[in-house]
Amino acid sequence: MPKRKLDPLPAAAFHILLSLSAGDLHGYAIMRQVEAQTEGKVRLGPGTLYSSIQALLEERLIEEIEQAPAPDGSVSNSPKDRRRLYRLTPGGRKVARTEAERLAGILRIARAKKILRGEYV
Amino acid sequence: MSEKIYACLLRLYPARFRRHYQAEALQLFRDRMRDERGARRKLRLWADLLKDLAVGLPQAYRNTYPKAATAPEWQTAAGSPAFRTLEEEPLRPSSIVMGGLFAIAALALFISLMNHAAAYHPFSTSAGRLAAASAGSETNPDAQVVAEKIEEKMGRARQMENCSFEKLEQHPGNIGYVKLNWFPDSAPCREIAEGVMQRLNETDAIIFDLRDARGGSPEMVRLMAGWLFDHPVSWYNPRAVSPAQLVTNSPVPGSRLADKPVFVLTSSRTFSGAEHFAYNLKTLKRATLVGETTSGASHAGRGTAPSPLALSEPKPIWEGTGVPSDVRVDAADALRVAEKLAQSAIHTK
Repeated sequence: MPKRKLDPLPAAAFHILLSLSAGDLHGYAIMRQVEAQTEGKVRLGPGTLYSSIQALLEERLIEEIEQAPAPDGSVSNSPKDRRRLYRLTPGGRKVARTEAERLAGILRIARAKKILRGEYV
Repeated sequence: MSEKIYACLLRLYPARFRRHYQAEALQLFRDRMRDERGARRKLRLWADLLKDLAVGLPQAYRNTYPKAATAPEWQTAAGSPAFRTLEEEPLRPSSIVMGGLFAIAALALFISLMNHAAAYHPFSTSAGRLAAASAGSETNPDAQVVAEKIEEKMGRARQMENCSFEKLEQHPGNIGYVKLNWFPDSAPCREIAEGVMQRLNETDAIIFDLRDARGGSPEMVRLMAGWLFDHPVSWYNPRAVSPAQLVTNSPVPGSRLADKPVFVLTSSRTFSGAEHFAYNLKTLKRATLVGETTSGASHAGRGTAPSPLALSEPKPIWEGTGVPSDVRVDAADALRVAEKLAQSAIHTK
């Protein structure tokens, strides 16, 4: 089996997969979502963000979808307003879960080693 | 300004990355610039961007950007035509202004070049170009020389055309027949005339048909007549410019014409130089004139001043009266009569 580009999964890619788990987002929303879910610790820059998105697209862990209609029901055709939306694929969800489990396993070890205090889940 | 700087930074990314994500990356940058106010947050933004450059750039170059994954919109079913829109954004006003300025500059340059290329006339004739080249000889002295050479060659070619003898035929009984409408200038046509005379060596009698001859060069008259004698003979020449022209240059090397019977066909349209030829051969009893009395035209009629070396008679003897023929027949019958005379002359020889 050829080595996958995202194995091990980079942190940025994992954050993007996690941000998309709750719903479809465009690039800037992903960046904000990641920032929010890391309490401002991770702010993905455009280069990192879109390079990671491209890698995830190539591995079919996420997919690009048609622009969702605006709240007023109209679809904007202006290139400036048009943003690509990204959706987590089943494969992407599986990879995210596997990564989360791998990290959970490490977390258990760390806890067993008394490295982590009880305040962490 | 900040956006332009970031747009420049984006140029570091691979072209395929920019093709797919540049617009979105710039949009993201604009969104952050809009949302993150204050000097401290702006500073943090730029720090993020620089850090992002260090992390994102290598990754952007690692990606393969397969076409199928990124450009599905314009790929259609096999066989059906497809149009791909490369640029969807309308042209910015600054681009239109710049394009207009470049177009005007290019047009001005073109007009300027056309105005300064007046020396080149692609539609003029070669003679016109030669004249133009000669006129511009100050800047190109070679052009004058070339033009002169070409003109000289063209002049020589025109003269060669005039060297043509109307007819050179072999008539029954091995009679050489030469029809001459003009005694051409001896300088360019001497070789051709000698060629004709050499051909006559192979015949037994010669007929010079001068019924339509309008005249020509006196020197050519003398040179051709020289072939018909085996020794120099005094040559009546009212137009002579040197004593050498008052005698034939006989014997001409290679000539075997001295003992062959010669007949000259004349008519009332035989003029000037042709009369000169006929008169001398008749007077010297070297030829029999068959036909009509010649026209009696004057040599001086061609507008040339009498030469200081000319004989005491500045006008030809035949002027006004013409040269009477030895055998008086109509010009139309002259050839037939002359052929019979030639054949009998050959037999009685």
